[in-house]
Amino acid sequence: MNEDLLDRQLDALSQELQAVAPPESVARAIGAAARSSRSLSSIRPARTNGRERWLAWPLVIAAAVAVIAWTLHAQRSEQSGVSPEKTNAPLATEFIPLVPVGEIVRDEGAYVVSTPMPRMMLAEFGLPVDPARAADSVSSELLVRRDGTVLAVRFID
Amino acid sequence: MPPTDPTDDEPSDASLVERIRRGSPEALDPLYRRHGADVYRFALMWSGSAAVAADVTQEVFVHLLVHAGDFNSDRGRVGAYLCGIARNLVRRQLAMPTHDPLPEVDDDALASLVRVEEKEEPLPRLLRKAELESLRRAIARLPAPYREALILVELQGCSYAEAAAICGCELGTIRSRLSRARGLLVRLLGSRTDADATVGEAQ
Repeated sequence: MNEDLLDRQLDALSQELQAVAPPESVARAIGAAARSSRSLSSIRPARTNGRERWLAWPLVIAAAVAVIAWTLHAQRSEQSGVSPEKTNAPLATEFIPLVPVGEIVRDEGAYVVSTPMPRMMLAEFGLPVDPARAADSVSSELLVRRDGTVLAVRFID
Repeated sequence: MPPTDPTDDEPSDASLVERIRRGSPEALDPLYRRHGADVYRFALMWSGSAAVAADVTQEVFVHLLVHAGDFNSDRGRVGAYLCGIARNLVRRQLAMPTHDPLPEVDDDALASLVRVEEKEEPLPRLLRKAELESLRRAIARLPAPYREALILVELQGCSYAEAAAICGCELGTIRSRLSRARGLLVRLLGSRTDADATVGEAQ
């Protein structure tokens, strides 16, 4: 590893990072906080003295916190538990290395072989398996070195 | 974080903050659209957790909603100001002393960082993904002050001056931290490459 290689890798990571966006729930929570702030502002008397204005801010903060807490709670409720729809959703993974990456780096050629596998294999890789379909097969692609060593696998459903 | 200059038709960041301060919270929406992703990405790389990054991004903009009057355009751009708030919130969320190592990395959440274009051949794609994953893990192992300097300058595109303003330190300190961060990364990634080679040879 040298500085030039580090620069190239940092550039690549920076480009990858540009594709990352906050979840929609964040925008919704911020929008809700702004709306609650606006509605509280609209019911405030047109003319207020400094003390009343000072008292309104805790209300604005409390409303914003309540909206965010509710949004987070709803978001976590959605995340907890795996729904049947989730386990039945179309699946396509990245290639998962099956040998040390350093060994793959030194390799110069590989080819892809498509093959069905028992669906229960998904569980071996920490992927969700619908128990109702556990006896079925799942399509997979193996990245195979010329000497026959399987370097990586990905599942396509 | 290259400047996101609004077009002629759009109000400037500073004027939007001023509108919020005067009681127009709807001005928060365009500010979020301009800076939300930068704040989230900074918090994500800085904390190593998508959940923390999402929470912090929300808190940053709600903070702006309530404390818009704290922003001073003489001290820097709105984007840098928001990242400064995010930095403090991440520190608070992780209760992270200045020189402690990074907490455990949220692997699932950060997997999206190493998403690679499908059009690549499988083998180069696999290797590129592994490289970026190694780099991301090495960054996560950097001491906090070095890590934030590296993320801001190398990954977010901040100038040294902006990074210094966000971190609350001198410009020379940022240069020094960045240099040390890069040196540590070269060592960390170099030792990992050696370790992989040793494993490969042993087999």
